[in-house]
Amino acid sequence: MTAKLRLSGISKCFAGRDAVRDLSLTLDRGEFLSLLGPSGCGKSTTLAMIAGFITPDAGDILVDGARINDLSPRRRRVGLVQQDYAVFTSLTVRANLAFGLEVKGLGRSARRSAVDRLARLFDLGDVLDRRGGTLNMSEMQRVALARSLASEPELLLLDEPMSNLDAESRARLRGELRQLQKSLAQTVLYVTHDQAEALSMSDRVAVMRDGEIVQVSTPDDIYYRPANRFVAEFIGDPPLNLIPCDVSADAARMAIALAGGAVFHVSAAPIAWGRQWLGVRPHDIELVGEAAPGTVPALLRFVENFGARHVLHAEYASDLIRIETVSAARSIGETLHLRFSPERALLIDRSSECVVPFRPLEAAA
Amino acid sequence: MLEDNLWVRFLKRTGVGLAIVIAFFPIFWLVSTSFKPIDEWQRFPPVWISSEPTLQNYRIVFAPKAAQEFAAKQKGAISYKVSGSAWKAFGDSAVIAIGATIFSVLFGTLAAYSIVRFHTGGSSYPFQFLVVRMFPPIAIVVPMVVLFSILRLSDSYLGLILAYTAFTLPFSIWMIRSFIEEVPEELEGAALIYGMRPLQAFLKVTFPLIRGGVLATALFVFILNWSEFLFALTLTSGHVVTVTLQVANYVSASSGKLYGVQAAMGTISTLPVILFGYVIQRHLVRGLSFGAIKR
Amino acid sequence: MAEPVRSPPSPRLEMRMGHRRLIPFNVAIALPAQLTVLTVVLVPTAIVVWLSFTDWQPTQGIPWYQAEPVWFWNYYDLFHDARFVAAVLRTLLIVAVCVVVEFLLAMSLALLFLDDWPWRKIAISIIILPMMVVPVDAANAFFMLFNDRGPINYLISIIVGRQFEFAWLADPNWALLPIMLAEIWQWTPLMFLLVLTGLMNLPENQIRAAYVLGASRTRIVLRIMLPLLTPVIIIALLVRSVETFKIFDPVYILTRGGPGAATETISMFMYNGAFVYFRIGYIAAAALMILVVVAAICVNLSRPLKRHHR
Repeated sequence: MTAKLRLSGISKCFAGRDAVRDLSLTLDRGEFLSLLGPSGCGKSTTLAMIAGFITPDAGDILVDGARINDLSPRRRRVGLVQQDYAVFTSLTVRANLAFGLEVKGLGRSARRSAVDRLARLFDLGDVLDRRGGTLNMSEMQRVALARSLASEPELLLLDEPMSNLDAESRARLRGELRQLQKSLAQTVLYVTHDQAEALSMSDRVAVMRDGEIVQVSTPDDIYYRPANRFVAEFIGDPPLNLIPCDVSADAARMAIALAGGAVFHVSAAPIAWGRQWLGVRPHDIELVGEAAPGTVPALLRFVENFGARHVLHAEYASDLIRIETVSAARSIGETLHLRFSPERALLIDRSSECVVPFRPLEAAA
Repeated sequence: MLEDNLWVRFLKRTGVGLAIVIAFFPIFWLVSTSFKPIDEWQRFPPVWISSEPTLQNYRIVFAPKAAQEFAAKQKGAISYKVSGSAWKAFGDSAVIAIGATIFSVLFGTLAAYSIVRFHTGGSSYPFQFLVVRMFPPIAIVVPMVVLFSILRLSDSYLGLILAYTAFTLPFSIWMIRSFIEEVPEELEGAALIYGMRPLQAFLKVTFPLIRGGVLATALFVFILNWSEFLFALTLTSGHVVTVTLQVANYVSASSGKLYGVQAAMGTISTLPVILFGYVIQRHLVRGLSFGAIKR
Repeated sequence: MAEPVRSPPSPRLEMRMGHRRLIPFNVAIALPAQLTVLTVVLVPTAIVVWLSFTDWQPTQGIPWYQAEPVWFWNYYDLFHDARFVAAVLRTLLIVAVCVVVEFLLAMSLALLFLDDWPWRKIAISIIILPMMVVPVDAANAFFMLFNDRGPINYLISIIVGRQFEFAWLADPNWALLPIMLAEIWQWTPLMFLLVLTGLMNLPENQIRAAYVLGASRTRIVLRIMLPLLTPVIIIALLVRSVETFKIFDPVYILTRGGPGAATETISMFMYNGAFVYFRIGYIAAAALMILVVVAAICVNLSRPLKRHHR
């Protein structure tokens, strides 16, 4: 079956700078795909090219197999919710919602029933007759969303739609938006810089950096099997710890040695001997009561209190690492005993910054 | 943002082209006529560009003696004895326009500063100046003639300067007010903490930031003063002559309006306005909408 | 016009001033402007009020303050003066026609300048040229253009196919046309600039959203742009209406109000009355009536304007 959206070799250069470089991506019907990356990585530019406001320098944009590069935004059956929502401030909410339907030539009663249905779906019943300029952020976001869905677009583009909302609304809306998308089977391309949003809502996540897609995978894959250091550090909150390690040969296997004495024996892997990195997620570090074989000491420097969980910042191997754990009484300056588990750790090559997969064998003292 | 189909593009080009032609044509006619000898002024079919261009019109305006000598030698050249000198007209206009501009901008800046930073007079005070602008000047002119005769200001430079100042103050105040409003009050507040007096703070901190705007206002007011006609017509009686009045002097009993000469005078007297107008092009919108509309 | 209200010195001033001044600082610096306006505007207005109750004519030989009052007879006469009423109606007609035409032309033209295209800046510079010509010289140019053997008639001759030598400025039915055309020619560029500035300041995101929803250019202009442009349109229409109401230069240069009184506007009526017929008292009454009406309109308009400005 043809993909709903296919980007093939898309490039765009602005003032000598490559905003998007040879980007290729497919989106299946009914799929929710997030375009995730830091500011300036080119994700909004990509969105603008799909919508039709920027012309790519090279490459093809195909919707349902048909090339739409030469179509104006008017003719692409694409829905767009911009970052500032762009609600029509001089029109009523009702008129906003009905706008796309007016364009299609729907009759008055058909428009009215469609608007009422949308209003119920998005809880906009009270504000239907208010002018767009008088709404608050949350109301504007719902209007923008409802308005774009009214015309039943082939593809819905969302450009950081949650960034203007407070944390509480964001948390609530993530679930609501995802449920809505599933019930409508709407194909969605979601641009964001918030990895929590991307991971929690998407069928797949495409991580972008400097105009290129670095990895496209399911949220689980992205989280547990990142392709390189950038993805590994970008995904996950609190961020990944990069621990220096020493890789050496050990018979037919490899040994990864960490400061403080822990050594892992692992299967041989395509990585150079010497100093490399071990990526360990804060969540995967075990706190042991006292020193034991396989544990390393760390000096507690700082505690971030999130209520039920704490994030401890401890000094280890002349660097600060983060440990996520349940809340407990601790005192600054106390010595923690950490145990890392190699099953969840990532071996990262210092020069290529790629994640090198390996198989842990039994742990040694 | 949008593609233009052929039809739309054609309409666009014709529309703009038409607008440009219509905008330019009367000016072209004025300039062209200024170089025409007298027999071409009212010829039918009309002469678009003179086949025998002459500087005689300009001579009559700026060098009357040379014009007479030329007319004596050249058969068919127009000879005309003008009652007043155009040089005096330019001089008078310059004196009045510059003087009135200085007063208007000076008073206007002080008043605008007072209004913006101290809210002097309440919220309706600035609108009182707007009302001045809405009066038809002709309604004021009659008693002004009377008033000026009492104050011994009839047909004087100071009289016209005062009148022009008063009627351009609304522009000065509103324009400069909008410029001052763009400078945050905290900057002056910081200066006050350092021990400056309020006016010092304004002059040293805010004024340099609005210098461009004040200059634009000054040029704008100058244009208004230079182009003014009604007050010049009614408040003077021959001693003071502005360029707008001087044009009317080029009328002869036998030939009626001396088109070529008037065109020459008009072309030259319009030049400063065009020049300054282009210099302040960016600020024209702000000025003409009393600061309500900004780029 | 009220005296400026002496607002209490702001706390900053209180702190700075060790001694009490005669006049608060903020009032003092606003005084030069206020006094100029007072002298040049308020005092003459007072004189107008006095004169409007007399029938003073300088030719009578008595000074103005000794003129004999005729009380409200001037006003009575004005109401029954067909020439005055005609001047008022004619002026209103000119305002209505000129402002509307200027606006429609300006709007259509401004829409053509929304996108960027080569030579756009130069085109704008040429189109605003008329605004920057001294009005008197522009009027003279139009005088020459509408000469019975001038270029306008020549162009009409070509279109019509036969000789067309019409004395526009001497015809009581048509003389108003060159006047209105001169006014429209000179000031449409101003409307154009105001409208264009308004259009360029419109929120681009809303327009983008409308495009994605499939709206045609016409629909976007009518349903999105124009409503957003309403405040700018109102200001432009107001400003131009007030200025057009005062129209004098083109009328004086082109026709002097003639032939007869066929093109007499309010300003021309008052000029003729005062400086040609020397009926100062009578004209003062006319002036006062106009002033009162204008002031009343202004007061009623300033309230919504103040609300908008705040």
